Amino acid sequence: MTFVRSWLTPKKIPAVVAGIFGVVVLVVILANSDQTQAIALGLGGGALIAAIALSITLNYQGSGVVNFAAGAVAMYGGYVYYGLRVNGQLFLPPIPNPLALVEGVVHLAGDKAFSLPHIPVFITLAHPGTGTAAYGTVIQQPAMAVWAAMLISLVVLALLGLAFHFLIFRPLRRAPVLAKVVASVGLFIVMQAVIVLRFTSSAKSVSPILPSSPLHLPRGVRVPEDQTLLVLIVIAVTAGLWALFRFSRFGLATRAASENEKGALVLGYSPDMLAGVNWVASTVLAGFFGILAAPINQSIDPITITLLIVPALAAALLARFSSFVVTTATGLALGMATSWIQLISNKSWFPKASGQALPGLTDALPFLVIIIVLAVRGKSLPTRGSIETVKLPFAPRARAAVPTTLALGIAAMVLLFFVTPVWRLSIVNSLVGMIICLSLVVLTGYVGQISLMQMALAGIGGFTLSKVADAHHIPFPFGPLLGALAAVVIGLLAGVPALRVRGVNLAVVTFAAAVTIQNLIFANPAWSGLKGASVKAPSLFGFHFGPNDPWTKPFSGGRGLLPNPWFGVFCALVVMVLVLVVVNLRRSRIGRHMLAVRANERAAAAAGVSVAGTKILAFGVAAFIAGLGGALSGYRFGSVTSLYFGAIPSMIFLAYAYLGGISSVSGAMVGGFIVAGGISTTIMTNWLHISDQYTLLLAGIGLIFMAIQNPKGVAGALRDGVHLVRRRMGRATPGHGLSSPDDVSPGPLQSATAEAGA
Amino acid sequence: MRKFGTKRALGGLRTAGALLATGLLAAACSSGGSSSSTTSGGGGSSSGTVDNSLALSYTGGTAGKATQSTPVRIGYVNQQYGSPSYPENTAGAKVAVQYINQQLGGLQGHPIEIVPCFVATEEDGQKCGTQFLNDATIKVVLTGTLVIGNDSLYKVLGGQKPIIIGNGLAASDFIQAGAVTYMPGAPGVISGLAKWIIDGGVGTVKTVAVVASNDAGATAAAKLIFAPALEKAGIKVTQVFISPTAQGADVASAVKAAGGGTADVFVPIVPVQGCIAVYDALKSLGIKPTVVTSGLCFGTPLIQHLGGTFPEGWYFGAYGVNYFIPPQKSIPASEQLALYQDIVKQYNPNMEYTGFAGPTFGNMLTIAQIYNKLGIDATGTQLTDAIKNFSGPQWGIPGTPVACGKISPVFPTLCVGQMGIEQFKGGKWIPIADAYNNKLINAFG
Repeated sequence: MTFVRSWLTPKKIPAVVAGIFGVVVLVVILANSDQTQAIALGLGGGALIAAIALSITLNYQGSGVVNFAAGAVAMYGGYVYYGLRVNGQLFLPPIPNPLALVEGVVHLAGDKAFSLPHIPVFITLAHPGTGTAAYGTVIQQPAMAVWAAMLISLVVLALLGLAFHFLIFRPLRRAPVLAKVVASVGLFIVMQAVIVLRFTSSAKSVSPILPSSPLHLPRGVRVPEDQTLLVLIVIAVTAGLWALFRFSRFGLATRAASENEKGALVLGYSPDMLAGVNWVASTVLAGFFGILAAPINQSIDPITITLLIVPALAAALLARFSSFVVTTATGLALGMATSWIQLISNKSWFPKASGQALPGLTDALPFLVIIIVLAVRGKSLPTRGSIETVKLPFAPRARAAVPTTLALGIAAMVLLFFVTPVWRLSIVNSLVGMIICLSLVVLTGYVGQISLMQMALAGIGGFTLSKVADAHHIPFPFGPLLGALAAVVIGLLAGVPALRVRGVNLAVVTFAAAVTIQNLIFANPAWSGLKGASVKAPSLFGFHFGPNDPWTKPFSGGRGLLPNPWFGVFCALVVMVLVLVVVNLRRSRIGRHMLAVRANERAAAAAGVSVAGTKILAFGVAAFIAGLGGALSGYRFGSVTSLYFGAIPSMIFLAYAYLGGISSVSGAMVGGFIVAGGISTTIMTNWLHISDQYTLLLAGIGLIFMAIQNPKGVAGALRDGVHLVRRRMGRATPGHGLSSPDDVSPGPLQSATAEAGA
Repeated sequence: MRKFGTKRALGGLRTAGALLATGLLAAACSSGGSSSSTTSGGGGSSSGTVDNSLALSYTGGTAGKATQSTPVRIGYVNQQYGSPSYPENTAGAKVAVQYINQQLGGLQGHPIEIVPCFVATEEDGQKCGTQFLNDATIKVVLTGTLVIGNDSLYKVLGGQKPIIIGNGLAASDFIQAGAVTYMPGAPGVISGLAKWIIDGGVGTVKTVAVVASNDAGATAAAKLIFAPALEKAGIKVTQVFISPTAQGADVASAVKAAGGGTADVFVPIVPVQGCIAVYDALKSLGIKPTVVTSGLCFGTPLIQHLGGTFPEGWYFGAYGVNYFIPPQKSIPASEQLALYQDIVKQYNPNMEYTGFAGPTFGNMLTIAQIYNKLGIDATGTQLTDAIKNFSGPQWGIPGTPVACGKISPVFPTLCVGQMGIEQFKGGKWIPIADAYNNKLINAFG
């Protein structure tokens, strides 16, 4: 009794109560054989989540990078194995061929038959056995034995891990967290694009590696043997990692470095070497499980395993990116809980939507887990102590903002009437993209809050507009304003977790929130309708200016080609207004507070800045801007869809904004320039004649390249270039935000003050 | 300080230059797209020789090559180069164009030129619409399969140019008054399956378990068509929705959650990948329900997964003829399917001939027929009317009548409302209610 009294401190009581509650629930569930079966069936899925989460945790321990591409790495590994096993071929990613440029020049000169060697697409290592035809399909014997294909795949994965370390993340080791997130997003895009290029996105059938006959458990419960074996392998790997990190010198050194790289350095360990080894280990680990998972999923495709990143991140976060045991346990629990929820959500007593099970409930599970984790121990979530960290790029004060905005805005408006329809469309796409990027400038660029849910917030704006304009006939401009306000409500709610976490942890939270919004709200027929959510074209005082509304040319009077340029004019006006608002926000006292919070929250608080208030305000403002962008997007397409406003688009938009220059308004303008379907896409396809199939790959490569070479983004590079020219001409402006050692590692208060322009 | 800044600035400019160079180099990168690994030559039941008379009588063309140099341009939109993508549509369209231009005399001697516009994002759909709307040389637009960008495409073209929707998946593909689809599509097949179950096709049914993809098409099919029809007939329906890319374990628990083991009939409305997962899930759960599914399960990956066969005892609802049942002279659509397989062998033996390729091939032949009737100088209005009033029969589709806009008031795009059901039993395909036994199901009747 005395022991219990001394052990059961008041702090432990909630955990103990929760534990007892959990055990009771588990007993109730296990008393029902149907529910036991559902839980057992979730083990296989849980093992995959756990495996990817282990790779994330290993990565974080070794290098401090939360790898958003871990699922993509697993998928890539599966395809390497598939290519070898089935066809005996090792595929190569698209490699630029300089000879093709020579070929192109000769072709232009008139010799169309001129041909130089091409870089191979596949390296053939073995040939498939004789196939047998059945129903018009050739069933081929595998080209390579399982062990050989597996061995070569693991070697390839190890080389990939080394390449990731040396080419991408080693150069980024002192970069801000955001740069690492963006680079891993770039990696995600590149890996998926390579696979689609080489194998198409159609699912490929994969023959089993593990035996798949069912195992019979008591009370009629059956579990496929391969899934059971996968669970055992994951548990074995977890035990191995636990032992390695607890007892070996290497493991202890990695743990030391993960706590404090400076400390590890002082102790004689090279954090760089540790990171490299861990990158190889995590890549091999993810790829290995990708290879095992494909046959369990019956086939392989570029999406399925890749998207397991969401629950895997939740599992890794719950384990604080450090405990392998907790990571695996959470992964398995998530898999089992998902399966169980799927079963009980169809029971008659469970709440329903339009008589059917609530859609997206299982997808929301990781988000709920994250929220619970935050509630319990948000502030104790880890942030890595790096050797030296570069802050986010400089956030310059815009000069001559009004005349520049007016000049560029009016130029864009005029241009809209003179360019061809395809260019007009790309200008409109860029203008809408600029708005979403502006929202990220406020939230991430000014306040340092990494959000991977801005497109989901834009979707709130778009879907609300669809509801109020189509169903309730609320006219323009009240519809888009209501949409933006609805986005503010969700944005403010999303801002609450930001009071407890920051950096990459916040990125994970917002990413999970985006998945939840997409699946629970946008994909809900009650919200989006089964036939799609259409958006009525805008009109004001009888003037119809939707993109597909007919229009008359201003001077000649003839009927103009669609899209209607007046919609572009409207978009340009919205962009101009928002640009001036954001520029003034940056100049204002609130803007200085935002930069102070970004530089150092504690210092900002000490200086009398309300950190919580500033963050919440930033979330609200950014959500309003994103909501407006979503509403304009709805007008642009005439409809809104859950796919367009999902989690992956949110991730990609953060990348666009970063590529443009996330900490300046001009960066948002460049970000809009490079969004999908924007001006840069049209330049690539219409002028450079780059095939559509390469655009995604190029976007990914561009992201990684810019994250490494130029964290200021294209706008920052251009600004520096202009400044350089001015300086050479003797017209330098003192205090301009050119990259300087001042930007690299200022003290928090210094930084806040300097960035505030004081 | 100055030197440092200068270096960084130059670095920035170099970055932009290098990025551009990367783009140029990538554009010039090694050719080669997808792997041709899992081969699937057409010709399950075809004769292996190409007799063009069937195709010539269908298109009204003349034997031989297209002799004129000026092409007739057809706008073609398909979802490709992203995830998901449906390149098999394009393979079918290309084979059709090659065949028409080389063996059916083109369109009154003029070769067809496909003007492709591929969609990977919502913006692309709008771009394709804008491009084709403003191109006076393009008078007809054919689509393959779109789950992204279709709404935008339809909104832009908005009845100003005729659209033939190839293989519609989303609900919006079937509610466009300005477009047509000559296939029964998901609404026809799913309605037909419901009707067949209600009419006692598999005996007395009181409960139906459904596992459907939560994509726009399957969700709409299950919620708008299938469940209401069955429930109206007093049949209890339990539906569980899964991600289109759900893993094996997720599918197994969905089957369990839907009550696949206890319901009278189990209906998976999923693409071929999901079908494979469902097959394995049933095996691992040790349950053997009566499975009724759609032709989307037919695909090559399923045949490969099962080592050259189909799931025993399953019923498949499709368009009424089947690649795997020998053609019959009395059923032109079955002969057309066989001819299509021979043509595939001739022009692209490695392409995936099942799934969406065949219907897209058929649509291209129908466009040839319409142009050959009207002449290549036909106006947009004439073409729109001809496409809308096309009375069939459609190539490879036995369902009649072809009457656009008159099949279902809910789905004005539909032009055909008949479908068929076959069963794979004892290693053979057995006609249950289809063109082979003259029992096609009138889905909306």
